[in-house]
Amino acid sequence: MKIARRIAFFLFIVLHFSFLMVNFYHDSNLFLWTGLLLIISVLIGVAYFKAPREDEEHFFEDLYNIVFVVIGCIITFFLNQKIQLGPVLAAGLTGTGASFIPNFFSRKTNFIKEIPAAIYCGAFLGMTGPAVSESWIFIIPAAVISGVFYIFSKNIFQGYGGKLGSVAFGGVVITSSVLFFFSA
Amino acid sequence: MNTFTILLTGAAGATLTYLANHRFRMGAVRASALLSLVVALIFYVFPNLLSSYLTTHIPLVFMGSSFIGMVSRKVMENIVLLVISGIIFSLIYLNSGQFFAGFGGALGTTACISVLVSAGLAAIQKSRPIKKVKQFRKRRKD
Repeated sequence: MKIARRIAFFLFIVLHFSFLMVNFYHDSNLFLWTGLLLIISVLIGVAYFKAPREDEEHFFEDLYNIVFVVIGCIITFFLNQKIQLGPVLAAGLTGTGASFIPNFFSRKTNFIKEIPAAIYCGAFLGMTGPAVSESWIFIIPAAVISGVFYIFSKNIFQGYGGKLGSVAFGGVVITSSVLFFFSA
Repeated sequence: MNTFTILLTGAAGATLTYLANHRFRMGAVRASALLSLVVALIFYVFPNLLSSYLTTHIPLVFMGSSFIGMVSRKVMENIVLLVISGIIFSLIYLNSGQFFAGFGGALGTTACISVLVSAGLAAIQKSRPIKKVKQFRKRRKD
């Protein structure tokens, strides 16, 4: 599934650069931020192309990851916004709980080992604040989109810290953009 | 002082998670989630322990930088690079605008960018032209 890998890679690039540009250009010191952005872009560019790419097959089982991302998101969103524990406590509780799931299975297949990561990815989505959305109608489609992105990105940036967060961020940004487009 | 504390938290979050993940074999998810949970709980139970700024931001920075510590050994083995990544994370966090505030995954994206910047630095440092410059300097010293 080279096409899935390419789509995911392209999405990562777009997300990272738009995140940096939007975050840096809020300041009036344009000269400094442009310089910094250029340096960071070169370093990220080098890392992108040096990143190991593995070609694992996509299986039908991978689709279950969408369900786990949605579950992680629902639990965290509920703890964060409905019980009002705050984003870090909510995601921490969900992630810690998820990390013990493989202990309940005697046969630890790759599929079972992947469950905590998928749930933790959903937990990042659930950290979304009320300023962005308080609605399940927003967060569940965002989780489904992130789940698809999670599957597509299976073969890239393996073992890179922050990959799951970028996947979650992708879901939130795409859903916000779609909602903004339709509400305009 | 606040800035220094945030920078220190970033470096500590990345390093402690990495150690919990690899040295104590907790696994990436448990290492990040459990440590972040402990830090968040401390500030939840003792909200007046530090200033309100630090009480709000330390758990967020710790959790964000703990994503850096989820990195695999294949990608990053050097603790110094982890500390650099944690500091880069904190610097981006401190200078972020409000546009993406509250977006789920924003901390993870910042962590991913920090890891990529450090990995880029490491790749450049290992590259042939840099090695040649180092060898040339060494020969000149000898």
